[in-house]
Formats: sequence, C-alpha cells, structure tokens
Amino acid sequence: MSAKNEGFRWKLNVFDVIIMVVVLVLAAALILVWRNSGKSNISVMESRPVRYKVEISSMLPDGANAIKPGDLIYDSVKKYALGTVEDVTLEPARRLSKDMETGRTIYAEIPDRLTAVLDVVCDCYETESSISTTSGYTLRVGANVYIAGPGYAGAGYIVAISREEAQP
Amino acid sequence: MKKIIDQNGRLFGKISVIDVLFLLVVAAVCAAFYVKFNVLDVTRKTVDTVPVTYKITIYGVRDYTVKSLAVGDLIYDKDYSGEQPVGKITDISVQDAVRAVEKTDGTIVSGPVEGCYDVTLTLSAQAIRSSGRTLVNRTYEVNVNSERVFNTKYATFSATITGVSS
Repeated sequence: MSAKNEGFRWKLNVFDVIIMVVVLVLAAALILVWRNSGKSNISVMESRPVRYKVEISSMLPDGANAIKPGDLIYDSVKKYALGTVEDVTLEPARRLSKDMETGRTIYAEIPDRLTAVLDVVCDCYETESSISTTSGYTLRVGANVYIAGPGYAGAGYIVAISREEAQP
Repeated sequence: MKKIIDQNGRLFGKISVIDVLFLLVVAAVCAAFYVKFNVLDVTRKTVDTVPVTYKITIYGVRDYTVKSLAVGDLIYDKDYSGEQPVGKITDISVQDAVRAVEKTDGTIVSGPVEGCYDVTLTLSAQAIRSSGRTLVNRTYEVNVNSERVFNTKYATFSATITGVSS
C-alpha cells in the first residue's frame, strides 16, 4: 500500500521511445496530408472558341431551310450546348449506292432531301487528347451527332475541326 | 522448474510478452517497406520496352476523315487505353477505297467506291515483345486482324490492325 502511494516516477524505456517516435511520424504525415488536401497541381482550364463543321444528311427541305446563322444548337440526346451556327450550306442529299452492272459504288442523289453543312463556333476546353465544349460534349471528326436547333433537328457527323492554336 | 511466462507476463522473467509482440510488428513493417522499395523495384526493371511500329487501316472513309489526320498525332484506343496513347502517327498512306459488290450475273467483284478512301496509318510505340506477343505500354496487346475504335484528339474512327514489326 505504501509503495503504491509513493510519488509517480516515470521510467522511460526503449519501447516507450519507439512508440513515441511512431506516433510523432504518423502525426507529421497526417498534418502534411491535411495541409495539402485542398491544393491541386491541375491548373484551371481556359476555354477558347473552336470552329467546326457538322454535316446533317437527308433533311426535309423545310427543316434544312430553317437553319439560320446565329442559331444556338444543342445535342438532342443529352442536351449539351454545341455552339452557335455561323454559316450554313445546303446541297442535294446523296448516299452511296451500288451499280450492280459495273460493280462500282457511286454517290446517288436522294430526291427531295437536302444535306446541310453547318459552320459552328463553340467555346471549348482543350487537353492533349480531346476537345470538349464547355458543356461537356467531346468533339471529334467522324463522331455521330444528333443536333437540334430552333424548329429543326437532324443526325449527321462532325466533318471538320479547326486545328488553330489557342490565342496567348 | 521455471515458468515460460511468469505472473507478470514476462518471458522467462526477463521481457514482457507485449514488448515482444510490438517488436514483431515493427519488424514486419520494416520488412514490408524493404520488399516494396527494393525487391519489387528490381523485378519491375527486368522487363524493358522496345520501340515497335505497327499499321492500322481505316477502310472506306470520306475525305474529311483523311483531312483530320496528321503525322505526329497521338492515337488512343477508345475502349481500352484511357488517357494513355497507344502510338504516334509516323506515316499516312491513302488509297482509293474498294468494296465487294455482287453483280447481276452473280459474280462478286472488288469495285471502286466513289469519294471514299482506305487509309493506312503507321504508328510508333514502346512495347514489350514476348513469345510472339506485342504489348504496347506493357498492357495493350496488338493483334493483327483485330478491329478496334481509335481516337485522336481531332477524330474518331474504326480501324483494323494490319501489321506489326519491330
């Protein structure tokens, strides 16, 4: 009893030292992680206007004639904004058709249908591997696209994307 | 006879069982660090990549796809490579496209396709070559005759791998 009531005397041994070192290292690591948790090495991406062309094939003439410069167009599936029409060119719609006499495959005009080629400009983000509109739609030549504008809609392909570099 | 663990929990009356367990845990952690940063590192360096070239052919595309490709563009596999390119275009070869057509007399001929082209891209990449297999970036297997969807920054297309060489 008397021994237990004697004043507390802390004897430091080697295991206490190891535990203290481990705790200190863990604490330092946690502090480092927390201090850096809000930071990122990714710089804020800046958008730039990108010009591209979309070909909408086999449109009804009334729908094709409704396309006007200044129209805001969007993806009719997921409603991504795709930019503003700068110019539109209309031409007779064509599709590949087989000539079974000669074995050639030729373009044949489709009666009463038009193909519309839209020049579009849209603010985009650019990475090393892709160009995406600020709304999140990735642009690539050859990609199938479903477009809707004021009073018209159609399906086609992206047929050109400008390769101009971003302005400094 | 002396007890192995005495009434104070000490082995042979000298060292605490808890202390022994703690020492074992510390030793295991040290061994794990050693294996991770020494043994595994040595294993990884034993397989080196070598430069390879391979060809992919895009069949029957229109001129806009041809114009969207350029030497120096990086190629990505749409489904399997993620943000890691599987090659860089070093050469572009364009030929008029042909397509099999069944004629009215029942024969099948390979006839020209107006306004369409077959485009062969030569790609360079780093790969592991082992037992006849080519693994670009160590994981992406290149098999002749395999048809895949590829992307560049500017274009997307379906193409067939048509040749692999070192």
